[in-house]
Amino acid sequence: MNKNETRTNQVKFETTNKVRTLTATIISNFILILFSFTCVFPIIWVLYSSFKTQAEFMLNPVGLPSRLNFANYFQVLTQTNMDLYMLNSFRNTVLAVLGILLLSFISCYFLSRFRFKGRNFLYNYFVIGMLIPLHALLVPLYIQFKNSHLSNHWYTLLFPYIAFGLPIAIVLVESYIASIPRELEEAAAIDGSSFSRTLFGIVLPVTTPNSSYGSYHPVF
Amino acid sequence: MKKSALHPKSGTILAYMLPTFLIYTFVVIVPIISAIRLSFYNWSGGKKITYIGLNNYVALLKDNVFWQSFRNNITITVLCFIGQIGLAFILASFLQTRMIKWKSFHRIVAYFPATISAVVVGFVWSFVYNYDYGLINTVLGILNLSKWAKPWLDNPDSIMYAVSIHIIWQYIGFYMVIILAAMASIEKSIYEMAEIDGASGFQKAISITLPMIKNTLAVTVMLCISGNMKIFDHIYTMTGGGPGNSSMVMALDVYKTTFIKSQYGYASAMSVGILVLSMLLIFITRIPTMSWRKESDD
Repeated sequence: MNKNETRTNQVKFETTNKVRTLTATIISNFILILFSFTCVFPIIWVLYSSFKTQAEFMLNPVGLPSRLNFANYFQVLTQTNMDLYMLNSFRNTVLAVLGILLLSFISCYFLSRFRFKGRNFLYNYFVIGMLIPLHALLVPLYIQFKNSHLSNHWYTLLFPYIAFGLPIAIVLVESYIASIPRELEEAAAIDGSSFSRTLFGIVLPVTTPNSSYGSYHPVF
Repeated sequence: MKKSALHPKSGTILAYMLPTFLIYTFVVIVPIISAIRLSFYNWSGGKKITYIGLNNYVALLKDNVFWQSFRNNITITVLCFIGQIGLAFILASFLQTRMIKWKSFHRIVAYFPATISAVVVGFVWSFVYNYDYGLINTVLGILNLSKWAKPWLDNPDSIMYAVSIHIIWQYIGFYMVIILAAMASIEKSIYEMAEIDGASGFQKAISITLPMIKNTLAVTVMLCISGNMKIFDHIYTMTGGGPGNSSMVMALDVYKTTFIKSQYGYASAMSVGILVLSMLLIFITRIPTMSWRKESDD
C-alpha cells in the first residue's frame, strides 16, 4: 500500500522533471560510487600488491600483478608466528566483543529504563572513560595488574579491551534502548515471563544489531 | 502477572550492574586515580620517588610540545568534525533519496574501513603517501602531473591535513551508519508533506532532517571529540609524531614521555591534563545540546 503510494508519487514526479531528475540521478550515483570506490581501494591495492615481488612493486606500484605470486605469504607463515598471532587476535576479539555486548547491554537496560538514585552519576561515570586514552594509563594499569597477579595470562588483555570498549557501547546502546517501546516488556510480563527472561529473551534480541555495532567498533 | 517482572527489586538491579561496575572501576577509574596521585611525584621507575607537589603541573603549563600537541588534536578534531560528520550527513542524505541505486552496497562498503584496525590503516596510508612508490604520487605520474608530487609525510606545514584525511577516511562510514539509522526513524509523511509544499532536497535536509536528528548529531559530536582527543594509533604508525614534533598528539606525547623519557610522574600529570581538556571541550559542546534537550522536553 505504502509502496504503491510512493510508486505513484514517483511516476508523477518523473513525468514533470524527467531530464532534471535523470541528471541528478546520474551525478549523485556517480558521487556515491566514487566515494565507495575510495573507501575500499587502498585495501584492495594492498591486497593485490601482496601478490607482487619487490621488484615488480617498485617498477609499477599501481598496476595489477603479472601473476599470482604466493612467496610473500609463504615467507610470513614460515618465518614468523603469524598463525599464533592471528589465533590470539581472534580469541581476544571474540571474547572481548561478547563481553562488551553483554555487559553494556545489561547496564544500559537499567540506565535507560529505571530512574534510580545516582543514575545520572553512574552514566557520567561510565562516559568519563571515553575521554582518556588507554596509552596514557598504561603505567598505573600495569602496576595494578602486576600487584593483583593478573598480568601475564592469556586473559590479561581482555580486561582493558572490555573496560575501554564499554563507554562508547554504553552511549550508543543506552540511547537505542530508550527508543524501544516499554509495551514490549509489559506484554512479556503479562504472559508470565520473569524479569531475567524478559531481559535476555526479549530485549536482548531486539537490541542485538545496535549493541553489536557499538561493541565491535572499539576492539581489534 | 508478577509485579517483580516489571519492577525488579533494587537488589536485582544491583546484582546485574555490579560486574560491569567492578570491571570498569578496576580497569579505568582506579588507574585514573593512581595517575592523579602519581602526578604529584617525581618518579622515573626506580625505588626513588619524591613528592614535588604541583611542580609537574607548573612544568606542564610551560611545556611547548604538550600545547603544540593539544593544538594538533584540536586541528584533527575540527577537520574530522567537518569531514566526518559533515560529509557523513551529506552522503547519508543522498542515500535517503530515491535516486540512489545499490543502497546497501554503499552502506556496507562505506563502513568497511571502520572495521579495520587503526594500526593497519596507518600502515596502508603511509604506503599511499609514500614519495617513491606511493599511490598518490604514482597516480599523479600517470596523469603527467609529476610536478604536484610531494613528500606528503615530510612537510611540517601540511602534515596535519595528510594525517587527518586518513582518520576521516576510516571513520566516515561509522558516522554515516549512525546518522542513517537516525534518519530512518523520521516519518516519511513529513517529507511527503514538504514535497507537496515544493521543498527542494536541500531545504528538506536543512529544515527537516537536521532538526529531527539533532540528538543523534549531539552524540556523534561527542564521539568525534572524545575519539580525536585520544587519537594515538594512526599517528604512531604513520609519522611517529614527526617530522620534528609537527604531528605530535597528546596521547603520543604521553606515551613518549612514559616509555622513552621514563618520566612517569610527569606523564601522569599529562594524562590528567588530557582528561581535563577533553572534559572541558565536551562540556562546551554540551551547552547548546542542553538547550535542545529542554526544547524537546517541553
